[in-house]
Amino acid sequence: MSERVLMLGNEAIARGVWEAGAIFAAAYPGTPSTEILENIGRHYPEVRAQWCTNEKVAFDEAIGVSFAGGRAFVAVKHVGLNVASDPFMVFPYAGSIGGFVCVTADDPGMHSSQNEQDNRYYAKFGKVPCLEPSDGDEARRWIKKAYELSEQWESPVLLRTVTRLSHTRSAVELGERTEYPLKEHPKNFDRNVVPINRMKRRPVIEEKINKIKEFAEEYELNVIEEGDPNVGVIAGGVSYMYAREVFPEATYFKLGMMWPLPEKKLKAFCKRFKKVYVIEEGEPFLEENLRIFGIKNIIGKKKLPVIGEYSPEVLAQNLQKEKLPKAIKAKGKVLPRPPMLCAGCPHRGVFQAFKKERFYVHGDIGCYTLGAMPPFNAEHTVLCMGASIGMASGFTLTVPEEEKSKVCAVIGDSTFIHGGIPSLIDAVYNKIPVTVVILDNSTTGMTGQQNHPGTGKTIREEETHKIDIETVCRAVGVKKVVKVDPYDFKATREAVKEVGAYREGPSVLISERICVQLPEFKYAVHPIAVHDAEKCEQCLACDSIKCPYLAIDESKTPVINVALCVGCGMCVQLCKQEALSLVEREPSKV
Amino acid sequence: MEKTTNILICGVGGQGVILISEIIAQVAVFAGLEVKQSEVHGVAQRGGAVVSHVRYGKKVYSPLIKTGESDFVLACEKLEAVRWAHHLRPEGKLIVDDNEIMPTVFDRKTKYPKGLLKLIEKRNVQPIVIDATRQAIQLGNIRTANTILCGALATFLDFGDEVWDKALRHRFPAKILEINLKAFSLGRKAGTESSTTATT
Repeated sequence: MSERVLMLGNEAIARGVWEAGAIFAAAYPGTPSTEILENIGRHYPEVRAQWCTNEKVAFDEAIGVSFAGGRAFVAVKHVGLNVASDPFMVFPYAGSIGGFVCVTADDPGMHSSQNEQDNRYYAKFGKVPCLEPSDGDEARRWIKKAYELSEQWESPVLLRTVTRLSHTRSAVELGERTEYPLKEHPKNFDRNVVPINRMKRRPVIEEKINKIKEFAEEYELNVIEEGDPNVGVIAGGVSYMYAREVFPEATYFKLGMMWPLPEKKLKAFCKRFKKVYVIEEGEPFLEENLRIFGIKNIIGKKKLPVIGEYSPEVLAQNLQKEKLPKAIKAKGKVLPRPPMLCAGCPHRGVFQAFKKERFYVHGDIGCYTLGAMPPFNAEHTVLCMGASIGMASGFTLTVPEEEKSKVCAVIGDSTFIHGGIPSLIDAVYNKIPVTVVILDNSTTGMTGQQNHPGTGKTIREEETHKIDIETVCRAVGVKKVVKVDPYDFKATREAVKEVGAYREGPSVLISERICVQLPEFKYAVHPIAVHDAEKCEQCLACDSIKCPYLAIDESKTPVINVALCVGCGMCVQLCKQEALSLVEREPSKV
Repeated sequence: MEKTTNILICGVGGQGVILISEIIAQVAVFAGLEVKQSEVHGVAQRGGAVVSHVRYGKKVYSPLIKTGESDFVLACEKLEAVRWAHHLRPEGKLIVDDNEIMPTVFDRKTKYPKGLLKLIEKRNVQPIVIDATRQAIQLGNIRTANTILCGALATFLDFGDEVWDKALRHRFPAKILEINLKAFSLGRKAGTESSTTATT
């Protein structure tokens, strides 16, 4: 037996990509997919790894690699495929040359996402095969299967994972890498979807998906596991694992290929049982298709939820009416522990200003969605990557004149580069006096500090050109661009007011401070806040920022967590009696 | 080891819940078992409650433990112990650090609740209390509290010292290895003491 190593599901996928001989891998960070590219970047130099500006760019570049005959890889979170949906939907018409695999990491339960879309529908929509492994080692091995499928059928292949696979550690066997020579790329126009060609290609993809459907009937990843002849279960992916806990003895149709489905084999399977459980987290994707096949004796979403993540207990409660122990309840005792912006997070300064100035804030995707929560309550709308600027533009155009100066978009540096720039250009072009606040913390924060074009470093920490956000804003024609240090409350509040009041055209405020999770902040020595009890009048002004490291004791006096204070000085600025101040910390104490 | 062992580990973001989970999972892999360890990333990193499931045995299907089937609940903080105590199976063991971390609250009246462990006792569970954080501070690094707890848990699991040692050496960088090995043996000691008290 080869070596068994403890790996995160996403690490196993990265390993699979390397073993499969991929030469190119690209992504934009997005939970729960991020660690795939991170690990390729860290461990597998044979694969060219890239953080791309966004998922569509990643997809386009990977298609180019495939057209040139190489094995290409893209990882997206479920909503990332929305961004790349344009090339995704048309690429099958052209067809791949070098193997093309896209991992879509869905997030049932929305642990770190704004919606709960089930990307198996994309496979059907785009007419491409979709594999769904049920654990880390399967994921590693099936990446290679996905490349074989892709090259056999000249089609992109989706491999679907979910949070509970991507973020589960398990033992994974290590295989070796196989190198493949580049495939010949014909120098004709077959891959140009001009009208004449797409009419030719349209029946081809229909024929192809039907042939793959035939192929699925005997495909080795669709397995019948014999067991109790009276209980039949159809499941795949992690749902299969949950089902195994609840129906350990049943006969299983374990679907490895979620699309296209082996109609004949499924029909024959269902005929063997009085009732068949269809266990699938998310939408009734399998169920709908089984019903289209005319199969009626199935139990699925009538008993099981469409919403949320599955688990053995969700199945047991809904299918077996099992009563489970309830959490301890005691009035006022089991306090919730909501997530918060970090202590010293530069976003705190900006949201404090929004709150004080009563701005109506259109938010974007990043840690700053937490600005919507107490103590700030200062982010009113959030939709998807890059949407803030467009929403703020439309909103500004529509609200009465006197409200316009109190409306803004707030967007992070990475998100601005991902999807904000076209909207800013649009505001300039269409003369919309929208206010945009860019939170530049020199990283992609929410997903765990990845580089992006604005950091001047690649995924492998190599030096590259650093996109300067101020220069970009001025270059596209924004006349009013202001910069501020968000650790300075007064200056930030003034700056927010200033850009809001500018009505001649779009205005931009760039808030510049590095993320406190970046190593250059985390491992540096910072000052520390100290409290002078003599001066303190217990007014609790310092507590309004709700710093996680500043507690209030029984006598309404602030107590600073000496070990963890990062010396941002926000509480010091809030103090009205100069009872709080910053002092240098002795380096040895860190 | 026919039956799957279920361990639920809970605490507050930054306490090293994931690190303990990884070490236990690594021990299981070194012992030649199947293992699944699962947590949720994302906003949980930012000061929120963190929970991680570790399951090991001959064959492990689900990465998630069913409520009421945990053999152990290992809590890095008392409030979190209360939040997850119902995950314990009857006769299961709850090990808790005698440690209080006040959650961020948005009124000025709420204080850290008193009598938390009594709530657990009412469920017929006798919590095994380890003063891991205090011992870690004495040791010179508060961040080793999780390793002390891990040592206490090890007392109740069927892995030999050499496997734990191998896993600790595998997981910790040289700079902090020594202090963590010390922390682990402190935890072992505390665990052994508590188990003898419990039986007498």
